[in-house]
Order: sequence, then structure tokens, then C-alpha cells
Amino acid sequence: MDISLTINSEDRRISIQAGETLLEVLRRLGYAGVKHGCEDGSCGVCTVLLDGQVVHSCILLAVQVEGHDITTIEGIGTYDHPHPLQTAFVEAGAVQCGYCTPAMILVAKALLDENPHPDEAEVRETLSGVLCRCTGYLKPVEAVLRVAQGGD
Amino acid sequence: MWSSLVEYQRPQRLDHALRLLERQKPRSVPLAGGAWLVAQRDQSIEAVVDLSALNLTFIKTSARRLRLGAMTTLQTMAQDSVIQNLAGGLLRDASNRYAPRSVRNVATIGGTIVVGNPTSEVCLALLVLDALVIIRKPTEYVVPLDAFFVNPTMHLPSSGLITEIEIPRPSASVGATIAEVSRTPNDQPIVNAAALVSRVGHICRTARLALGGIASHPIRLPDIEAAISLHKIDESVLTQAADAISSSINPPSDARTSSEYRRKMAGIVVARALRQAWEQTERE
Repeated sequence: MDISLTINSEDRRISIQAGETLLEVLRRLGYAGVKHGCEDGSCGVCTVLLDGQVVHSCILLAVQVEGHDITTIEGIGTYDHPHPLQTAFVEAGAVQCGYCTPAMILVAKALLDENPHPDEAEVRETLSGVLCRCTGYLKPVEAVLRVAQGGD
Repeated sequence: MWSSLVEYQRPQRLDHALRLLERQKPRSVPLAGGAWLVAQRDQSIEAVVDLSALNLTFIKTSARRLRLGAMTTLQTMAQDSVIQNLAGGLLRDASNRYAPRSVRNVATIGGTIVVGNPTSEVCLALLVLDALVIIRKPTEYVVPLDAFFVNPTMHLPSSGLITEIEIPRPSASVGATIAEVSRTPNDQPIVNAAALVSRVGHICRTARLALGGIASHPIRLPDIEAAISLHKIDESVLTQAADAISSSINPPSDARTSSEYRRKMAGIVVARALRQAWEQTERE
């Protein structure tokens, strides 16, 4: 079946199968920043923004988001023009293996879009939705707080 | 990939949805948010009927009751101002405990009830709020949530749909809370309980208690409720209630903990929830 949707501000018409998840379709289309993890909505590495709200793309059928607006990590910054959160993650040393980093940045972006100055507890609650086995969360929390506090 | 799935429907009318669900071939099931259903990848399912275009996302309020559309998400419930003021925010708190946000954004109240997870805080809260489940099959059918949990397939045939949850408004002066134990603060609960009490003077007028983590679904505790009602709630009453619960259940062991631990803690979390709810009424 064919569906229309918007991916990173680009209107797309794509062919999908009924049983394909949004995660599988995005990766097939080349959005490799969306990671494939647990497939049951536990680990959070497949997080994307659906109409600006965080969702796990592994537990959504692609057809469910027909007509909606999807944002992946590829849509919020580039190598030459990184998003402030991406810069902060690099500067704080908040990236280790990097597998969960796109998801961490997306959940942080959704938080800051809704609440530009969260406190540390709100940042921790938000990042807890993404499982990270390397960083211990300390530096990712620090990176998000840097952006939230407007410093550098 | 949900490889057995060959058909997807998004009807705009309830009667159309019910007709699609009646089909044996392809075997069809309702799709709410998908947080649970899509994760299962159940290979016996061939078609899903997406409920998102049926206008079942609403919170309607009147003086005596709240009506929540079955497709209302847990995040909406966590943020709604009416739910925030209902029974001291019990249902708001329960919705918020379903983490993380990315799952609350898609998980629905109807789906949460159908899944009936043994430690679902939302189900515990709805149980002590005396929630009613409104089902269309296709005639309207109303069943209290506690009765629904005892035999879900009898109340909700495969061709039926939960369309609404109705919550009678408790009086403004009730105390209500959830207590739980888990291995870490972010892990799923081992056992948990909700309590809702109202008082007259020093006496507990009504007590409603629900317990999670000891059976295949959360349960109400009518015998304990009856034993407490019209008494003063003090430490000896709480100890008796905890002992009565622990001695009357035989919960399973699993990877998280043993049957013995569950049995002991079940009584303790109910007593904790009850004590905290009672203390809230003292502050009124």
C-alpha cells in the first residue's frame, strides 16, 4: 500500500507493507540514525518525533502515521550545522558508543520544545526513557542542562 | 516486521469497525495505540482495525461523572486539569507512573484495560474509583471494571469494542494514593496497591482497596474493605488488614521475586496505601 507522510519537513509518498513498523520503513529509506533495539518499546533507541511528540518507532506500524509529521535525528541538525543539543553532547563528552545518542537528543529536544528550562529531575525523567549502557547518564544530563540553562 | 499482518483498516464509523471485527477471515483485532499489540507481533492476527478515526479521544465531565473516550492516551490523562483534581490526582499520578513518556504518548486507557497488566497503576486507580467499562457489541453494555477483569473475554467478545470508561466523581474530601515496591525506582512494580477512603469524624466511612502483582490482573479486596469500613483506622487495624491479605493469597514466583516475598509485601503495600490515604483525609 502507498501512504503519504512528512519526514524531516519533506513530503514523501512511500510504498509499505501492512506489517512494517515505522522503524523498519525509516531505516529502509536510509534514516540510519533511527536505531533498531529491543523491538518491544522498552529500550527507546528507535525514538522519533511524531507531530513533535516522542514515540517508539518499533511499536508503531508505519501505516498508523499516514498523514503525520515525523522527525528523525537527521532532521534536526547536520554535520556542518549541528543542533545546540548535538553541540552540547559533544562538548560535555556525553557520547560513548553512540547507539542511543540520537534517541537521547530527540527526547531532550521534545522536552526543551515544551519546557525550555527544565530542572535536573525533569531532564533525568526524560532521559530515563532511553536505555544507555555506557555513559551512566551523568554527562548526557549535563549536556541537556547546558542547553536548558542557555550557557555553553 | 509483523509478518502475518496482511490488512490494515481505519474505519471512521463505529458500526463499520464492529462489522470488520466480526470477520473470522482475515482474523481481525482492534488496534488502539499499539504500544502493547504491535510489540507482541502475534502471528495469529491477520488484520488490524485502527480505532484512531472513531472520535474516541475525549474527556467529558459533568457534576456526577467523568467519561473518558477509550482512545484517550495516558499522557493526556497525566496532563488533564479535571483528572488532576479527581480524588487528589490519583488517576493523574497513576498515568504518570506508566513510563516513559514515549509510551504514554501512544498507550490508551482502553488498551491499558484490555491488557490488564497485573501491576498497572492505571487499572488499580480505576478499580478504587469504581470505574465502569462501556462496551459496544454492537448494543451498549456496561460492566464494572472489577467484574470485567474476572472474565474479560465473556464481557468483551472479539467482535466488541470498549468505547468509554465512566468514573463516578468521588466526593472532594476523599484520600487516595498508590503504594508500591520494586527492585529499583524505575523497574516495574513487584506488588502495588491503591486505596481510596472517605471519613466521617474519626470513622472511615468507605474504603476501596485494589492490589496488583499477585494475580493475572489487579483485584479489588471487598472483604478487607468491609472489615475496615465504619472503623477508626489505626495501626492495629492496619496490621490486621495486612495479615488478613497475606494469609489469603498465593501469588506466583518469577524472575523478580518469590511467592513468599509477594505474599508478605502485598499486605504491607495495602497497609501503606491505606495509611497514606487516611492521613490525607486528616489534612482536609
